[in-house]
Amino acid sequence: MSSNIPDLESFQNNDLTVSVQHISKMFPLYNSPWDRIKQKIWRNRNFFEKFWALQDVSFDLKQGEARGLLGHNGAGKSTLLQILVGTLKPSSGSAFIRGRVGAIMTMGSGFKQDFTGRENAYVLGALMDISKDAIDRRMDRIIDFAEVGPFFDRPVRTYSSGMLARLAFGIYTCLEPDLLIVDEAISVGDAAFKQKCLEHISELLKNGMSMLLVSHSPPIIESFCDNATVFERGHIIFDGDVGEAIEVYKRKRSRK
Amino acid sequence: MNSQNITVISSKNRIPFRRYLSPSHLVKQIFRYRQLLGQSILWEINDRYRGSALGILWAGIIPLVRLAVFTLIFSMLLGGKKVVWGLDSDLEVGMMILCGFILFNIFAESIGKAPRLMWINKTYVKNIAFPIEIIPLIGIGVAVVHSMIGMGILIVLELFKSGSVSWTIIFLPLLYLPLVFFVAGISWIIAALGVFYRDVNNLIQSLIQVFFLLSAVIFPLKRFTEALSDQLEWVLRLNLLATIIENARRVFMEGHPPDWFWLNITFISSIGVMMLGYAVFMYYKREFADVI
Repeated sequence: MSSNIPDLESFQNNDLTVSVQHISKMFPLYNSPWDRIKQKIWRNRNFFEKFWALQDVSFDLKQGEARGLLGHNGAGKSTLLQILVGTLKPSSGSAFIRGRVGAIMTMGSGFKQDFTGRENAYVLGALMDISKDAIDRRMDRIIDFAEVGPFFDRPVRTYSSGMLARLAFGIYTCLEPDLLIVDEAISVGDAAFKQKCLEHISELLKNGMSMLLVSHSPPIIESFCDNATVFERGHIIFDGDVGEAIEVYKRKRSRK
Repeated sequence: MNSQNITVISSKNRIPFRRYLSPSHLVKQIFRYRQLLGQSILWEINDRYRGSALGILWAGIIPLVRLAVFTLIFSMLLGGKKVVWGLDSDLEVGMMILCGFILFNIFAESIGKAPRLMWINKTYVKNIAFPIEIIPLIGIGVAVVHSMIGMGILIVLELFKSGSVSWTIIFLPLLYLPLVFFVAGISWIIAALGVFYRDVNNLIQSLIQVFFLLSAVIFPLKRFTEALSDQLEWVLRLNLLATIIENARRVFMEGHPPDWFWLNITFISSIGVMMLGYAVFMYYKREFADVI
């Protein structure tokens, strides 16, 4: 790749899966549609208010590491994940990711409601860039994971939200990413479902996958992650051991 | 140390507009996602008729209903067959109008949805690393399949009516190419604009009606050129749909080969519109998730 990114070389020579370096993200907030048009015409003036969702965020994620991202709503966790998935561009800074990224951002929102669970396995697979063959090969595992019984061949609009989550996660298990990004997805299921996810994810982690997990629930973070990062209004306020991170997060919450 | 791909995310690597303008970028991208695109079109059609008792039969019933309406209103009630069309049969007038309408509908359906398209497919824009540039093409693909069913019905009707179909019908598929290029280019532009400016939706809904008249769907294009001066013909032809619809009638209903002069111009301009639309969409794509 281009040589004008000096840190790329150092990234190539280490064993990190992700390196986030001084990422900031500013959203321009326009008060009226006219301001947006004015901005296009007078480029050297600002007709918007700046909202900094992330400010100078840096951290590294080692291979095989699971890291939790904690923070209140609007702290910038999801913005960071969207930047890593590639749907949002940072305003400044850079990040490097080694290998394939698998993201579970919103559970099952890619489903076609009138399609059966089986058909949706292919639909969601296509969205996640999983080939039809890969889905076919693992169909038994998807069925096993989803635990929806005869509903597997009925339209997913008849599913309960727990069933949808299990089906979606069953399909995601076909992903064999080097980095798994999970945004609140596991919180929808019941205890048994969480246990199952936990088992599956720890197996993947053992095989060298890394994970970034966003959740509002400290127990979930605690059971999956070794380390955690706490966000507060776009800044990282703590980065380190998961137990301490949860303390910091709880203290922040009680102060609010 | 290991050879896995490294993804670089940076605020700096914005690809310049002119790189997206290169035809190879567009062709490569479409080729890369051809399977996803084909599959998505099939799923979309499947999804639309899933659960309805008549299913895909609706794709055939709808044009027949339209044919009945056009025949009844424009020929039998308004009596335009001799004066406007120079034809002897009411049904033939209906078929002429339907032939144009089927093609116009690809435009109307796709462009009508374009302003809200990225909003409707929010998840793809925000949460999945999905090639959202193919989303407008999925809708166009569905519209093309529908229009082909409509054309098939017209062919069957023509066979019943006059026992044969003119050989010039082989040119009909050729007319779909500039139509699809043109509609794709416009859809990409409108879809991108629709992200930033919500007014685009209202503007487009009214413009479609203007285009409906300008495209000479319910009367022959030559009525237009006769009424205006001949020098203004190229202004009418700026709307590429007019030439495409006129030629569809020539090759299908009238049995003449296409009007190559205008068709060639339309073909080249449609490719230009497509490339421009693609570049606009791709250039502004990275800002979509900021707004949506």
